Amino acid sequence: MNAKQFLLQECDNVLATLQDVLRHDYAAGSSEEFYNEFCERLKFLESLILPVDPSDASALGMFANEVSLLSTLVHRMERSHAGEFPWPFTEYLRNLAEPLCKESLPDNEGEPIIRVYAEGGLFSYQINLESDLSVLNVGRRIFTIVFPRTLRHHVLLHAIFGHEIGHAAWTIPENKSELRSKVLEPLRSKGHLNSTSQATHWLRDPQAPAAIVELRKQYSDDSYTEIDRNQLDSWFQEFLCDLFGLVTFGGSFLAAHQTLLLALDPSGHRWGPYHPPYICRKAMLWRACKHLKWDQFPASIRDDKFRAGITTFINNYSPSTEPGPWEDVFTQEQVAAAVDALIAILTKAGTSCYAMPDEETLSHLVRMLEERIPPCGSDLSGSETPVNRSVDFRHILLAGWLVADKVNATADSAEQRKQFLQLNKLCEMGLLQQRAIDLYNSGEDREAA
Amino acid sequence: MAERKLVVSPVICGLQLGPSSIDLRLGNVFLLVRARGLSDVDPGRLASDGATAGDHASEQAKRQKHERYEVPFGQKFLLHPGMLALVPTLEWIKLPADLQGIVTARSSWAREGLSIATASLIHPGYTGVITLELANLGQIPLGLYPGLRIAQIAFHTLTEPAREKDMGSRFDMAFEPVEGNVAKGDERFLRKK
Repeated sequence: MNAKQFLLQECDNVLATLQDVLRHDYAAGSSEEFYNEFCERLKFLESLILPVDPSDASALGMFANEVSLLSTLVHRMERSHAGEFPWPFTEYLRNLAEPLCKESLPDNEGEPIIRVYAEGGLFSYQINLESDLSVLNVGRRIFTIVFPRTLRHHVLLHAIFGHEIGHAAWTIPENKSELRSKVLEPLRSKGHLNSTSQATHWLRDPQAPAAIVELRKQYSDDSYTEIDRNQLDSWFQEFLCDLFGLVTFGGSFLAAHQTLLLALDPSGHRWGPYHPPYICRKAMLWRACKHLKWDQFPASIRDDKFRAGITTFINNYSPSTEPGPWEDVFTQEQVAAAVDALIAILTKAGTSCYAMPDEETLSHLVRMLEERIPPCGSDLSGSETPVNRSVDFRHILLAGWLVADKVNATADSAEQRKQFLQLNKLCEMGLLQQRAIDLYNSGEDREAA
Repeated sequence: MAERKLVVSPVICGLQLGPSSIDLRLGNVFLLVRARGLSDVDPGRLASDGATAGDHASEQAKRQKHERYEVPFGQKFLLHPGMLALVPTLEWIKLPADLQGIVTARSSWAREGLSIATASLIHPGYTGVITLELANLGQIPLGLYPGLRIAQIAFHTLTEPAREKDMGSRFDMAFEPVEGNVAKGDERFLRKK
């Protein structure tokens, strides 16, 4: 069997696997659209391979990559069946991300096909959109949401997906140019990260925090502190995505961001080719919270005890003191301009930005969690005509973090772990129940209309 | 309920409230006995295999017993004749120390052949979802959708509250069905002399 025959055989194998995949149930959308899209791609790929001369190594090599990519996608599809990931959360996430990931493509509505699966590794959170549509000239992109398998029930940490929505949105050419000119431009306009030479100078600053000086000693090679264009671009994409996370998920994003990133780098000072030091990201988020006036949110709470809890939470993730001068790489005006531009872009696309809840809603959710009841808009009054409210799923996550912080302040380590998992499961259950309430209420709205 | 001593959450509409009972809705997880898993339920083997919690034999026996399906709202799960499925309620229940719950099928479903007749007693102090043991006793498959009102819980007041030490069980704070252990506590009757 020569290479060309083998590639054609592998196309048959991919089709057979695709058909086998239909054994499973899928929660995030029907399998029909994925199946049809793949059949189209396979047919088209076969039509490209058939006329190729068996000695044309270059063309066959390129098509081998395409077949391999299809095989990978089909395998991911198979792992995407319901039960592997928290689908009530995924449905909410999909609603948030989908408007941003629509695009104008020829011959289709431009809506991506959503797949969700779980992957190993603590840092496998991802939202991917296929970035290259040229070779197979495909109609629709495959939009993939990846959860860490071990964090299946940890919905509080899933607020980090706000950041990943940013990466997905960046893939769409129309979004990218707007995000670059309106959000990144203000951030890049001045300051330590204004250019590669300035960034290099900043990393080598003798006045840098001790942890940075220590890192420079560990990596004595100059290239570690030499920032090139690609690295700086990647860092700015991370800053941009952090703003996405904050604006789309609010306070729960701050908590998930800190918890996960400090697990990866407990010092918060390391940097890499793709990621700037966490302390700089935190400083930028601090300025963004200030601009959004979230630091003033506790003042709107009437209940003293409840206000104290919220103040503690905000201080844990966005302290009341200003960031240190080294890590404070953007001015208040830069961050404010970037946040305002991002909110305008998201609003135009139809993605709802996070707005802090009112006291009644938040205290209702927190009280439910404290009483070990899944938090949602459930009417607990015992009324014969219960009025269940629609509650933004992000408020449920915020309530979860508020209670988790309180537990962390009082319980010992083993109890903290047990209770954190339990809180996550309560919130996951709350999301499911909220979905049921919303489904019922939306039916009622339709009937009334 | 107004005093939050008894919690049934969420009660999605007034239709769920009867004169002495509350209708319960179907949750979204279905556990079915796995055809190629354990061939029988043998308390004797459970008692000997599961000697150490967390070891390979006991964990494998637990995990391989059931297939787990998650069914989103709007999708159907077919319960075939003769089939048994463990399904949680959508509602979260908290019972005070002086109330006992009794769970039964809604009569309209019972008339279609659906039985929820087994572990229907909910102890005072219980917190969590309730696991329904659904069996299709009819001749045709039953289409079950998450969110349907399928069971009902009625309450009995106890003459005095249960004692703290008598409340709580291994199923307390249950978020979804788990397999039971029919050997637990009876091991002395299961060992060969």
